[in-house]
Amino acid sequence: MTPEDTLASMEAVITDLFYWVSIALMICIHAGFLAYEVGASRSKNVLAAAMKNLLTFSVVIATFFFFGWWFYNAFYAFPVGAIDSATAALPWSDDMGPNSTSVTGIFWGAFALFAATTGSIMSGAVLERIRTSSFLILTTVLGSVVWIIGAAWAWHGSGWLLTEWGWHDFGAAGCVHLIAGAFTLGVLINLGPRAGRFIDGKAITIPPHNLPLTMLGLMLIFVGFFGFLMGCVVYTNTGYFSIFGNETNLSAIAFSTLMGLAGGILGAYVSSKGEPFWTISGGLAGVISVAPGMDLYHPALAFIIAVVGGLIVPSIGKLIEKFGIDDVVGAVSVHGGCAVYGLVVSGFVLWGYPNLEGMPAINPLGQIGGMLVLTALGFIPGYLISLALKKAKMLRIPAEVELAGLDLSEVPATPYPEGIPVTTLKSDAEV
Amino acid sequence: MSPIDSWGGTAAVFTGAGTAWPVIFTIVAVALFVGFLVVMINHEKHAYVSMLKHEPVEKGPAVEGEPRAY
Repeated sequence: MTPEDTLASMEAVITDLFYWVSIALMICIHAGFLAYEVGASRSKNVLAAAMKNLLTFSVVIATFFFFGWWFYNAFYAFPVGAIDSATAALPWSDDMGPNSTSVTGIFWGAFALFAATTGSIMSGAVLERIRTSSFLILTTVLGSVVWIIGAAWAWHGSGWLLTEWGWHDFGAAGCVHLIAGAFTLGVLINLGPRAGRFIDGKAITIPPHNLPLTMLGLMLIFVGFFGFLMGCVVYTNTGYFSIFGNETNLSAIAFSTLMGLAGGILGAYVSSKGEPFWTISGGLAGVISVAPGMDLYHPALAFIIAVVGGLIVPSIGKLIEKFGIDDVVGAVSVHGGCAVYGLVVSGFVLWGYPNLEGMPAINPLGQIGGMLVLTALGFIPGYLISLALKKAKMLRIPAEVELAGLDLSEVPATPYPEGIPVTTLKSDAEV
Repeated sequence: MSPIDSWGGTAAVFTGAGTAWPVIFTIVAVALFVGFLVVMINHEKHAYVSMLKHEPVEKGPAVEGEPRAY
């Protein structure tokens, strides 16, 4: 073997390893969402919440292999150009299996974990009253069709939002967070609030049964975000690039991610007056707010943008609540609201940064226009499919089951047999 | 189902590469996935109906520590 062959071999190994680590870290996001949602549930729905997360992970990964990856490879030019046949991404192609010449699997794996993340974002918002089966249908559409079409448009080296409008969104605020948040909003409108959440139009707080577990879950999500953002970097034998082709490196992402986390937490602490749920959610709000430009922002600017993201996120939550929408974990405000804010801000702050040769520079209209396109791409299918499920009486669990709790009906196990009361019975309370 | 005779100059090495088998594997895998969804929907329906009738969801005596029947 010549030295050149050895070098090429080592480069392939490092590329594989880079995304392998990214995938492993992203699984922490799912462990985190599981803990987060288990904690946010009442004790009568703990295991159902955990099962929903586990099944989301499995269902999205399987369907992402069946057809999700094909959408990414086929739709980047849509609707401006023709749909690419993308035969190499079909599940029976020579590229989609153990192979001596292709590393498709490691990229497919990283994207599959991004896909599962979109499902997990929706999962917490619909807790305690959605049928698991209808949720899994919705999460399949979101994780293996809708977001990945958005990624083909807005998170692809040849995506039409980049080539036509000069779009830039390093950390997938648009295709992951905004699309998942908008899709979730559409579902929540049809799903309705939990029983007892609004009485005579007034919002009633239903406290989580284990807030410390919720906070631990969010800390795990923070760990997972380092894998998520690592997967946003294209590693090659000539250096690191963003998915849009500009040079970057992990150093830039370390600055922005940590300053975003810190700023978001501090901002949300101030605006929520130290409320633990919103304070720790502020960390996510901060990272999502800086995600579009985290390869370019000065760390102090990232901190400022994140502080504002953290400041506004509880208000977005309150605004949504005023419309009678019950978003249990604040997913629409944190993921959707902060992505909108972050994308709009990035259009002005990054105005004039060049994209690769022949593509428009980053500009406010491109960022705002892209944000509107991705919002519609998420909201419309989420609303329409959940409406169809509602009409078919498949969307929501029966009222009696909601009252007694899902753990007592569809989960053949008991979460806390010796400790925390398992369920709330009719005689105990009406909520 | 081996697509290769030796490890020299190989590309796709998975079972059935270059034949119709991967298509068949995919069809069976999708069918299993759909089967899972059907089983899950039936399980849900059964669980909800049992609860509404105030019947145990599972047969047999309650395990120690399980909640009382709704």
